[in-house]
Order: sequence, then structure tokens, then C-alpha cells
Amino acid sequence: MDGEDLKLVKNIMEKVKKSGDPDTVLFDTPTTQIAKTNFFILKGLLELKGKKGYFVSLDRPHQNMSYLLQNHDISQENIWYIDAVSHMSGSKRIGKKNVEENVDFVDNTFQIEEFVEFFKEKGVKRKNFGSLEDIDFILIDNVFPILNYNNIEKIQEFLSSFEELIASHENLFGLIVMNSNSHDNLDRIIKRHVKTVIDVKKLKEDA
Amino acid sequence: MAELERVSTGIKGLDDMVDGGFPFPSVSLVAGGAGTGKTTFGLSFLTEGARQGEKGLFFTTLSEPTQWMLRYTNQFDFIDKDFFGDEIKYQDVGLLVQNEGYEELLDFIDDKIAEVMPQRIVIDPITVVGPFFKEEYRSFLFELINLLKNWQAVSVLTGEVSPGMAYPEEVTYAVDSVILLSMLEEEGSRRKYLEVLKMRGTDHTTGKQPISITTENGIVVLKSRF
Repeated sequence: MDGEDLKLVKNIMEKVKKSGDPDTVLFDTPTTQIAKTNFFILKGLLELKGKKGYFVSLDRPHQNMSYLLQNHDISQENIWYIDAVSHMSGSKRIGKKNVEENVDFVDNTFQIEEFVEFFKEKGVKRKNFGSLEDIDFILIDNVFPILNYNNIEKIQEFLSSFEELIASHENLFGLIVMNSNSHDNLDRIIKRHVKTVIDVKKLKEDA
Repeated sequence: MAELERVSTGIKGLDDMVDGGFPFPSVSLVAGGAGTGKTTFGLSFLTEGARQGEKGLFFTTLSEPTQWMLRYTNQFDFIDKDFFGDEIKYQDVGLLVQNEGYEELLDFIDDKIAEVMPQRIVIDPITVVGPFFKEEYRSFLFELINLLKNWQAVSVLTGEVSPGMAYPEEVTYAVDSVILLSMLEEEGSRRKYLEVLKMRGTDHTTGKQPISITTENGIVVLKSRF
């Protein structure tokens, strides 16, 4: 990470702070920068802010993010992964990476509307992640790939319940990452369910 | 329907042949004989990314020092030399290929990708690895291509094609796209062509398209045939 990247991380954190608690925030970023944006958000939340939360992998196996954090010496003590894509990743190698064991694998990628129930009931019953009251954020890595597995109605249902979940927990931030140019309809729907949109490309230009 | 997102190939005329560019993320093979423009293709692809604010990572398997590669790229007007070192990182893995097993090479590539976090990756040429890994070559390719697919990047592997061989088939089965570069003797001169053999999820132009390679523009697909 160079100085520009670090400044962007700080700018992102500044924006998240300004948006006010509790809140659901959309990070609008170019598709090619989604993985990096997720990493920057996590670096800011875990390292700069000392927050604790879930990282929901819908786009690529959680091991990649875990590996990135490990490679950049960012502690993963306060992150729990909910991985819905590894079961479709097709790689033997992913299991060989030396990463933390803080993960729940879910295989109902095609039933996105059930995810919020997973957060509430089945999710994380280990360590100090006992309930949603114990955490500060839920970050969804990229909403767009959900369209590969679910129709728009199911996604709408998921977003409604996700917004309600966040609104009913004062301690929680809901963070969603997507390129708003990926899909007009999905973009419109998401923007109805978030309070704040952060334009990461603009923040980068300002950094 | 979720449409595939695409990134520009950086080759003038090629984006028009492939619905706007390479699908993001994806892994492509650019194959051809000696002098057909494989390395130039890879450099154009990374340079285009750097122009868009994307990071690029260039792995060479040839044990070529950075200054050797830069010596040749300096001849190209279309490549901004300032990109090298920051936006485009150059990494020689030749010694690893020669002296280590394929797991060590994969670990190194994985670590380097995690360090740089590139949006574009080139491995030039991948086929050099085959004789070193012998019967493990196919396993290596399978794991490498899966590794690349699971990162959020567009990767281009280049492959050497021997005379009489159409393309390196052990690589083509696993990648998302195959682009062939060729040089044919016609009317006493050698002419260069580009052909999109396969690109998943893409309505692409078929057949050999004539190209020119110049120091000013790199590879340009000539429009006479499409």
C-alpha cells in the first residue's frame, strides 16, 4: 500500500463516520476496484477504528480476503467470514492457504433472501461473536454477483430485511459494495435501501 | 440477466471484435509463434490498465532482468515508461521455475498478487514452464488458472506455439478466452494476423483479422476484414 492508498482508507473512514450511526452505506466503486475497496474498508474498520464485524463473501472465496489481510499484517481477530462462494470455487488450493479459522461456510447462495435469518439465528456462535449485539458492522463484498444466483425479487427481499436488521440494531453498520453502473435496476433498488452512497472513485481522486 | 463486465484489451480494434473487452474477471491465453506480438500484447494490456488507474503485474518466466525488458519497451511510443515500477510491477520468476516445484511457484505468485493487489496480470510465457514441471504441468496449470480466477483481476497468459502446432491445447481447455497471433507468408511477404478462437460469454468476430505492429501504436487490428 502506498501513501495514496492510506489516504483513501482514511477518507473512506471519515465518510463512514460522517454518515452517522446506525446506517446502511453503499460504496460505489468501479468493478475492477471492488476487491481493493473491500480491503480498504476492512483495513480502516479493523485497524484504524478497532471495529468488529462480519465479512460476507458473495463474489470470491473468503480465503482471498483473509490472505490479503494476513499479507498486509492486519489482525483478523475481530473479523468473522460468512462465505457463500467457496463451495463453487473449484480450487483445491484455497483450502491450503494458511488462514484463520474464523468462518462459516454457507451453501444457500441461491436463496439470498434467507441470509438475514442466517445472520440472526444460525450465524456466528463462537468466540466473542456470540450475537449481533457483539459486532459493529456487516460488510457485503459485492452485491452484483448475487444476480447470477437469484432473481431481482429475491435480492429486493434480502435488501429489505438487511436494511431492517441494520435499523433495528443501533450498534450496527451495514456496508455494501458495488459498481452502480453494473446493473441499472439493481442500482435503483439498492439505493432505495441505503441511507448513504459513497463514491469511492471520487474519494480516490481527492486523495 | 447479469451482463458480464468488461475491461478494454488495450489493442486498437480488438475491443470491437469482443463485445467491448475481456470479461472481468477472467483468464485468457494469447498464443502465437516467435515474433507474432505476444509480449507486446501483454504490455499493451497492462499499459491500458495503468491509464485507467488499475495496477498491473507482469510475471516473466524467462529470467529476464527488468532493465532488459525495459530496454525493449523503450522502443515503443505507446507505452508510458513512468508506469513501470508503480502502476505496473515487473516480476521475474524464471529462477523459481527452474529450481523449485510448482507449489512454491504458485505460493510466490499468490503472495505477489496479495502484495500488489493488481487488476491486471500477465504471465509471459506460461508454456516455458511445461518442460520443468513435466507430468505435473497440467496440475500446475489447473491450480494456477483457478488461483487467478479467484482473484478479482483479468489475467493474460501468453503461450509459445511451435511450427505445425495450432495452439498449446493443455492451456486452452482451462482458460476463458483464446486469442491466436500468427504470421503467414503471402505473396512473398510475412503478414500478421489475430484470431479470437474462443471467448466465453462473448459474441466475438471469427476468422483471422490482419494486424500491424508498430513502435508507435503497438498492435492494431486492421479493419479491412470486419
